[in-house]
Amino acid sequence: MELSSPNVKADINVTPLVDVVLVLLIIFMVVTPMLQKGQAVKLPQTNNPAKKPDEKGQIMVAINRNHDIWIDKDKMSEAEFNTKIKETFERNQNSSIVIKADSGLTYGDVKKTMMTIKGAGFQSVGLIAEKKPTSTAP
Amino acid sequence: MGMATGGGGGLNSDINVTPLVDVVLVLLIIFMVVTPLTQRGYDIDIPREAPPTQMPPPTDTKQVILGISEQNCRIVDPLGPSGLPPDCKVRLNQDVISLNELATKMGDIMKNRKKEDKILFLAAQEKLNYEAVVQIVDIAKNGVGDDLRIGIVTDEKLATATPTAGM
Repeated sequence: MELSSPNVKADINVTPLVDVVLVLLIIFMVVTPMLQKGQAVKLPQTNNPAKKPDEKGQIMVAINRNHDIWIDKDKMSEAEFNTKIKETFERNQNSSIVIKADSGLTYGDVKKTMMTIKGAGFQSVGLIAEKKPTSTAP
Repeated sequence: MGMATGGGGGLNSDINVTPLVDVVLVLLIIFMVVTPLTQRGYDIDIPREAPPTQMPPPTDTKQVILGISEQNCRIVDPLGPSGLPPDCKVRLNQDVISLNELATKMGDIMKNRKKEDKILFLAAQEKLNYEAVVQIVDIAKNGVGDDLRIGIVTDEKLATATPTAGM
């Protein structure tokens, strides 16, 4: 094998670089919309929320800042919610249910929804929060 | 090309390191991004049995009610970047305490209880900001641990009720 000249040659192979970039791009394009389950709301941030693993069959009720309400992927009005949630309970008596409510709502809004869920028959409900990003301030 | 082959009789196992490093780095980045996104939150019990409808008398320490009202804690508006107001006070049964004491007091009350008795009833005024209420519940829960269960009091008057008033 001939030795190359003492000067350093930097012929970068572009092919692996492009491979990596395209793969990353495709992964993020596919994965990101699936990650935030349910609607995009601004979740309340707390210091130490417990992990609530995503259970199979978990029903997600989402309430955004405008008081629009969703059961899983279906958006509905408040009146429809009252009836639909009962139907949801009938069909899924053993499923867990969580509420993803916007941080700007009042406690009363969320409490009202919790009471409606209770009226449908559920005995416990999870409130989804997110962990506060760690800050450097004391 | 005067490259000598690496192996001896026929088999060449010069592993290309570059694709290997590609794959490892991509996997690493995927896990770095996905892991923090697991869902987190709080469990609230809403059983069919009725929650407390009046403030328990001072001698009965069984039921613990956390009252959050605007007069003790100004959290009607959405929280700013500084979070909960520093002068925020809440009512734990009969005592009005600051948030700093809330975690320790909760720990003291729940310390010797059996797991099924570790319940905190939340009585917060309906007009308060939801995020603020959840943050206060988080503080109370941190004082006890993950086995604290939280219940909801339906009548918001208990947020400001005192044991001697109108019982």
